[in-house]
Amino acid sequence: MITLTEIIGLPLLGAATLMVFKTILPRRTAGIWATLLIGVAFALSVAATVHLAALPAGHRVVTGSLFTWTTGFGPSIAWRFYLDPLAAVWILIITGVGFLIHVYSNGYMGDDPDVGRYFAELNLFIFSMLLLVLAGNLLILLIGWALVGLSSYLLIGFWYERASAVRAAKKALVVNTVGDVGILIGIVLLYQHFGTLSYPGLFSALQHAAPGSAFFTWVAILLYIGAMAKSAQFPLHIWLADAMEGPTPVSALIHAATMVTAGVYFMARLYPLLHLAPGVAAAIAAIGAFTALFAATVAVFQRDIKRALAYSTVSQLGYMFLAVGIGAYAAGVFHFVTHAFFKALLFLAAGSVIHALSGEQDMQKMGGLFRKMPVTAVSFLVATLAISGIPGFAGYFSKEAILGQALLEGHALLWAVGAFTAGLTAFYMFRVFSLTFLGKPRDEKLHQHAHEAPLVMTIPVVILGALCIFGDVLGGWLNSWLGPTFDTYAGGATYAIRSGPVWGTAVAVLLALIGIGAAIVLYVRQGKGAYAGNERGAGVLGLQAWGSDAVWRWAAVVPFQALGDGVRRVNVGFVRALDAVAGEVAAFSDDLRPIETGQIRRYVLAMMMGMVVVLAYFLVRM
Amino acid sequence: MSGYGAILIYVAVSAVLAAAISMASEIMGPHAPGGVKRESYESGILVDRPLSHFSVRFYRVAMLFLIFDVSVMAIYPWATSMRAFHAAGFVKALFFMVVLAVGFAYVWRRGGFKWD
Amino acid sequence: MINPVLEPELLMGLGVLATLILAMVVRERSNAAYWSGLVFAVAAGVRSYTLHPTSHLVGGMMVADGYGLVVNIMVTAAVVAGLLLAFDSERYTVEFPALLLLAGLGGMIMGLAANFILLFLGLELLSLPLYILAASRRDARSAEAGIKYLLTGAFSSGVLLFGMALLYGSTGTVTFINYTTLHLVPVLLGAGLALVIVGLGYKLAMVPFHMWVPDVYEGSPTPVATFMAFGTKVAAAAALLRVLAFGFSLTSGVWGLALGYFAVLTMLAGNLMALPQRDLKRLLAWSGVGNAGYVLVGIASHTVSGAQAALFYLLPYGMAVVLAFAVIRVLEGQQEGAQMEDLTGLAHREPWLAAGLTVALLSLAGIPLTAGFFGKFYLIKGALQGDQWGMAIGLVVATLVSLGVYFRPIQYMFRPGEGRPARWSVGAAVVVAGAGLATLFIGVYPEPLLHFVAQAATFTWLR
Repeated sequence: MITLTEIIGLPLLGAATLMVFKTILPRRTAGIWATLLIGVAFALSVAATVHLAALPAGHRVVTGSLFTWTTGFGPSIAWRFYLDPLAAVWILIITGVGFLIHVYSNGYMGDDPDVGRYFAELNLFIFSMLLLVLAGNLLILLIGWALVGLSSYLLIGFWYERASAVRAAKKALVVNTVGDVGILIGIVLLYQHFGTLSYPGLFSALQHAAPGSAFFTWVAILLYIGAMAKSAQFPLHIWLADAMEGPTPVSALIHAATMVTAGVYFMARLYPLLHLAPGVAAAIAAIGAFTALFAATVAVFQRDIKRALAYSTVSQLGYMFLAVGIGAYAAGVFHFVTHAFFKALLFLAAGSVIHALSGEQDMQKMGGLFRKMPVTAVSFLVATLAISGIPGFAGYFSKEAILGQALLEGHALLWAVGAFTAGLTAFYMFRVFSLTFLGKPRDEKLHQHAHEAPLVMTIPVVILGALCIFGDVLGGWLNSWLGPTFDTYAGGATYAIRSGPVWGTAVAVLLALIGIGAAIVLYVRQGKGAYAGNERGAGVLGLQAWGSDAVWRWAAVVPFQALGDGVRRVNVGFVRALDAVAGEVAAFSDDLRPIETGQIRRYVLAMMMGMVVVLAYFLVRM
Repeated sequence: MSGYGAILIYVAVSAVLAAAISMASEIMGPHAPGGVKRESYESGILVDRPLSHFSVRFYRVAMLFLIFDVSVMAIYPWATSMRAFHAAGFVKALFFMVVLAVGFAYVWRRGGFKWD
Repeated sequence: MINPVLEPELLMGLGVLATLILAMVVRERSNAAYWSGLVFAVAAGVRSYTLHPTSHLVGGMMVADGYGLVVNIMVTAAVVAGLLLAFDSERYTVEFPALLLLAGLGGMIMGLAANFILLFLGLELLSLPLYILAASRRDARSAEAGIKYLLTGAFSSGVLLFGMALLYGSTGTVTFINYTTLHLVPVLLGAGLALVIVGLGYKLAMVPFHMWVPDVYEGSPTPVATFMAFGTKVAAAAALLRVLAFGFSLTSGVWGLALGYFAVLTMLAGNLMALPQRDLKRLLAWSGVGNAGYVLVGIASHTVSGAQAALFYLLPYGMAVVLAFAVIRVLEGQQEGAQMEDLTGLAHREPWLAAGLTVALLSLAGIPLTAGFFGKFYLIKGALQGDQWGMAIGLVVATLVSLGVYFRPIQYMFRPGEGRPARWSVGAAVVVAGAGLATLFIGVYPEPLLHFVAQAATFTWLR
């Protein structure tokens, strides 16, 4: 218990100290202090995991209550932390990858005038994420969930002088709040129904429920809406691409490796509930598959390197939800782990490129950087191969685990969508790689000044590259590690990672190779630029995510504006109507002249009318 | 004859007495018609036309009178049964009067009774 | 000789006398009256906290129970906040503390009234000083606020009195406990109850009896508006809850649904109308209307947890609104009132002030880790326990709307530029610190308070 509190407490300490002392600390110390704390938190996480592994397989839970929070109005809610194998995977990634990204940030953000605030917010994010993952009941989880949204908002809007950054931050917050509300209502319903929110208590209670009742379907839908918003599932994916307005390490940490996978964690954590709502689980899988395909088609058209990677993240999250939806929980978690490695790498490498080109993110201005930045380019290539699902790299194993499971479970359509998306993924990732590192430089001036990143930035990238290659060994370990967790309650039966039929793998790899080949031909041989194909026609639509922003504008923003206008008009109309009535009694009210507005008679009139309505209601009800 | 008869007699006597006194003054008093007596009298306020504005000070005095008058009225019921309430009742009534006195002193001190 | 349960009220009454005497004898510019008012108000609050009452009727007039004491504590807190913010004899008259204490005494009496006569006395004792205080600044807007408050307030008092008369006419009693045995509601009684709800709803700022709120808050001196926003609302809500949940608990079928409609209407109207406001006091006034709707949710749900949630919610709301008014007080300086534009750049110029306002607004919006979150959480729970889905949904929708209300000032604070300079005073600093810390503390660790309030608001005969 002590360790859990410290793991959570250290980043909070960092955030607090940096916030208070940011103005008096020497420039470099802020980053070093923050990085150090996360490093210690990582070490403690490893220690906690080792401790957990030493326990007998069925009893790998470390839990404890800090203090009782509330009891006043019903069953008590405690500040309880809860570490089990599932949470252990997440805290290792959060603190581990988080540590690497902190190191990298020392180089990337070192010259920013507001570096103290940056690291404070970064530590705050790590704290929130750890709180979310280590929460022992759903209410604490919700607090972590909301704090994650808040720190994401702060970091996206880090450069708050830029109007676009502020807009993007607001958009992220609004979409995430929609999800928060869904979770809040779902939690209240569960609390109302079972009188407890702690995991063991809730899940034991769920054991005795019959699957398929409307209540569980609604609760599952509400909670899924929360996961959907945080993990950018269609149609709530719209905020993630705009979130790229934040500093690039932030994109790597929050919008690729950790925060956006909170939805996957949440759904995996709630597998006993999903078991009771099979329809919702099926919908999660279907929406996941659709999101994967949809985002991949959008990524194909992107010009901005970070936006391309963002849509790639949405697409990969689709895979994870596909896994969760069909019950392949271990495969989903495995893909989360490998994705954290290769996507963090991609973002960090992209950050190095952006850094080298003095802030340029448009791929049209890149090209031919392989020679200038060999370490970055090779690392990027490794991650690209991993995400493309080329055998031997980590991404191949986790993606195959998901697709193979889909095939084994008889979801042929989901498999087909996933396999096709794998081909698309290979295509657009090699498009990005070719446009950035291969071919001729398309902007000579930028190219001339380009340089390899400093060591503090390349070392984390290289470490992540190694993890992309060797991460595949984790698959077997995860299988046995997570097994007991998903065996505890009904519903996790198909969790295990199994290899699918060979022909399925072959088709997926073949499609990926075709995608790679097509990308090489188009963007290296024919030398097409980043604007090719997205300047007119369907390509423009693809660049704008097939108009999903516009649809949202029409579906949500415009009606609310209209509602606001309408309310104002009704209000004006109401006052005018009152005025008309008031004219009738004006003769009586002349004595009130001294109050020049004369509105008071309107007030009294409104009260009179209200009173008449109340009286009428009471008398009618008699 | 029930107890109400006494009240009836009381009412009749007071009516007769009131009528008698006013008739007596009408018959026996000196008469000097004309002058300001022709105008309607309203507590010293000169009423020249209906709905005219006049000084708020009249209201202030009237209200202050009313407040203390009504409050003092509360002492009568206590006074009629003072013995039944013993010392505790006396202390409570005293407290009530102290409150009134503080209010009175406050009004006095703040110039509530000054005309100007 | 005097029932110990009445000691807080006695202390408050002595405070009125003492402040009045001091106001007579000391110099015009002295703070002595403020100090004495402060001491007596704090003493009354502390005495309320230390009392351990058993629920019993005192002379058929009042109930001596924990409920009244919780109300006492909140009302005295409002008085203390008002006094601290007004600690400035340059601008407010020497009568200010005495009048504020008198209004507080009225609010306290409303909390323990078990009888319509005493309830009405408390209400008038609360209202009359406020009419004067609202008009106590010598300018047109303050006078307008006072006269508007007086006229509409007199109207509502009349309605309340008429309702009480009808209730008396149909039952022959004005004591709440005698209503508890009613099962059937004759027409006359229903009409009386309706008028009582209207009369108390006026003080609570229930739509459509809320029209006075923005004008009066805007025109009144800020310390007075602070007391109105917290103290008056507490007293009115407490009285309404006592009348309905205690007196008419068996006939909830008659008033529950009607009050539910009013709750939803009030929540939505208050928050929607708060959206376009630019004047911060008007914004808080409309927000107060919306929050009155939240409290009504708890009352209308007619469950134990609903009643507890309604009483509890008053505390987070009060802390947040007091905090927000204190910030306005610091900002407004010599002129009264503050506009949204005055906040520009506040986060950079006055980080503590900005932090205080942010905490207040987040709490009003119901963000976790602030007190407001728990308030709303338990209100929703109460509504659901009463199977009142409509109110729960209305509350969520209103909360969503209110996000737009409360985030706009925060946006202004972080915008670069020069707003109005702040003028701290010791009193305002104490209020900002106290209310801010209380808001955060309740948000992080509400347990002790929840326990206290939950015990106080348990009307055992609720289902």
